[in-house]
Amino acid sequence: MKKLVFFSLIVVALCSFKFYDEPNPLLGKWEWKKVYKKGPMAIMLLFRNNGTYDGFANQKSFVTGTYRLKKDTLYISDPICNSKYEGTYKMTMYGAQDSVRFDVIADTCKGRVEGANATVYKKIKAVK
Amino acid sequence: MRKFYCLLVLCAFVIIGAQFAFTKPEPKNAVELGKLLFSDPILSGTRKISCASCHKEEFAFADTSAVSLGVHNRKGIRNTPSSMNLSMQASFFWDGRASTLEKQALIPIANPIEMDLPIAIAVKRLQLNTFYRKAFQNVFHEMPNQNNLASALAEFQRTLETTDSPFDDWRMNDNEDAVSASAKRGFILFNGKGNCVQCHFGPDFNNVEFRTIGLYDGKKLLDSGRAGITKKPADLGKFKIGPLRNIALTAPYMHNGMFKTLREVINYYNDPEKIVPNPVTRDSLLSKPLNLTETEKDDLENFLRTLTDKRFAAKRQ
Ligand code: HEC
Ligand code: HEC
Repeated sequence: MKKLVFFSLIVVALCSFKFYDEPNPLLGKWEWKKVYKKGPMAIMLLFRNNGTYDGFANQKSFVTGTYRLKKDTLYISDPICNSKYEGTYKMTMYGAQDSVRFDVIADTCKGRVEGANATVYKKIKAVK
Repeated sequence: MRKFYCLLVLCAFVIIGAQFAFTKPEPKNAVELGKLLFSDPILSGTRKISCASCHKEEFAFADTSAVSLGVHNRKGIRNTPSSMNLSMQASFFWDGRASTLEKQALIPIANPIEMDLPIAIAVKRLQLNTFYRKAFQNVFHEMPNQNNLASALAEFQRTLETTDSPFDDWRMNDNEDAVSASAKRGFILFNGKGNCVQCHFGPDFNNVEFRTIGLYDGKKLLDSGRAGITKKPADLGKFKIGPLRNIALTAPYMHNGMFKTLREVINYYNDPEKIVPNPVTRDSLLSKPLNLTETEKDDLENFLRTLTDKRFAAKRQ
C-alpha cells in the first residue's frame, strides 16, 4: 500500500512537472496562404512532438526536417539545405498563440530564407 | 401488326440510345471543355491523334514506350512525360522551352511529328464544329480562338494533381501504416546516402533547375537538352529534373526513355560511369558510385512507389 501511494505521488509529480514545463507553442499545424503562378497556394507546416516537422504546398509534402526551440529562437534543419546545419529564426507569437511570425537571425541556406523569412502562419484548429 | 410495333419500339430504342452515345455532355467550365479537347483527335491533321494518345490516363497521363507515335506513326526523340502535377511547375518540356501551360498547349498541335495541325486550321475546325462553337460560347463567351483553346487545355491539366499518395498520408496524417518499413528506409536514403533530394525536392520532387546526370555523350546519346534552347555550353546535357509523383506508373524513364524500370534508374545512379561512360558532362553530385546494397536499392524503389496517387492504386487492384 505504501508503495502504491509513493508511486502515485511520483506519477502526480511527473504530470504536474510536465504541466509547468514550458509547452511547445509550435506543436500542430500552421498555414500561410499566398499566390503562386496566379493560383492560390497554401503552405502548411506540421511541427511534431518528436522534433521533426514537414512542410506541405497545396497538400503535397515538400520538405521533412528537424527543429528545436530555445525560448523564442527556432533552430531548423532539413536535408535539402544540409541536415547537419541549423538555420536560426526569431519566432514571434501573436494573439492567443494562434499566429506566428518567423524572422531570420542567421541562415546560410538561401532557398529556406526566401521561403521562410518574414512569413506569418495561422494555427489550424484541430478538427476532431 | 404486333411485329410492326415491336420493330418500332426497337428502332426508337436504337435511335435514342445512339443519340445518348454520341452526344457529349455539355461542358460547364474551362476544365470540362479542356478535358474533352484533351482526348479529341479533331486537333490533329489526320483526325487520329489526340493529346491522350500519348498522355494516357491509366499511366498517370504518360506513355509506356520510349518515344510516342504521332500522326502517320512519326516518332519523336523524347519520352512523353506525365501531364499531371503541373500546376506548380516553373517550366515545361525536358528542355524547359515553354514557360506556361498555355504556351505549352499549342506546341504539340502544330508539331509536324505529333499532331501536325497548324493552329489557324485547328481554330477554324473548332469554329465550324457546332458542338465546340456552342461550348466555347458558353464557357468563354466568344468563338474558339487560340487563346481560349490553350486556356481550356491548361485549366484541365491544372486539375490533375496528386495529393493523395501513401507518402502524403504518412507525412500529413502521421499514419505510420501508410507506407512500409522498407519505404521509410528508402526515404532516408533518398534524403541522405543517395543524394537524390539535392536535385529532387519540392512538392513534386523536382526543383526548378536543369541539371545533367550524364545522359549526353555526343556519340550515341545526342540530345544536348537545355543547351539547344539557351545555346550556352554550360547547359550541355542538362535537362529538367524529372518530377517523381506517380513515377512507378510512368516507365520508361529519362528524356529519352532509356531506362525501362525504376531498378534500372537506381542502378544507373548507383554507378553512372558503368552504364554511360565518358559523358560530355555529369553533375558533381554523381561523381562517385553510391555503393548501395541490394536491400538499399529495394528500399529506394519502395519509397518511389509510395508516390503513386491512390486513385491509380485502387484501379489496379
Ligand atoms: C505524339 C505524342 C504526343 C502528343 C499527341 C502530345 N504530347 Fe505532350 N508531350 C509529348 C512528348 C514527347 C513530350 C516531351 C517533349 C519534349 O520535352 O521536348 C510532351 C510534353 C508535354 C508536356 C510537358 C510536361 C512537363 O512536365 O514538362 C505537357 C504539359 C504536354 N505534353 C501536354 C500535351 C497536350 C495538352 C497535348 C495535346 C494538345 C499533347 N501534350 C500532345 C508527347 C505528346
Ligand atoms: C544532379 C541532380 C540529380 C540527382 C542527384 C538525382 N537526380 Fe534524378 N533526375 C535528374 C535529372 C536532371 C533527370 C532527368 C535526366 C534526363 O532525362 O536526362 C532525373 C530523372 C530522374 C528520374 C526519371 C524521371 C522521369 O520521368 O523519367 C528518376 C526516377 C530519378 N531521377 C530518380 C532519382 C533518384 C532515385 C535519385 C537518387 C539516387 C536521383 N534521381 C538523383 C537530376 C538528379
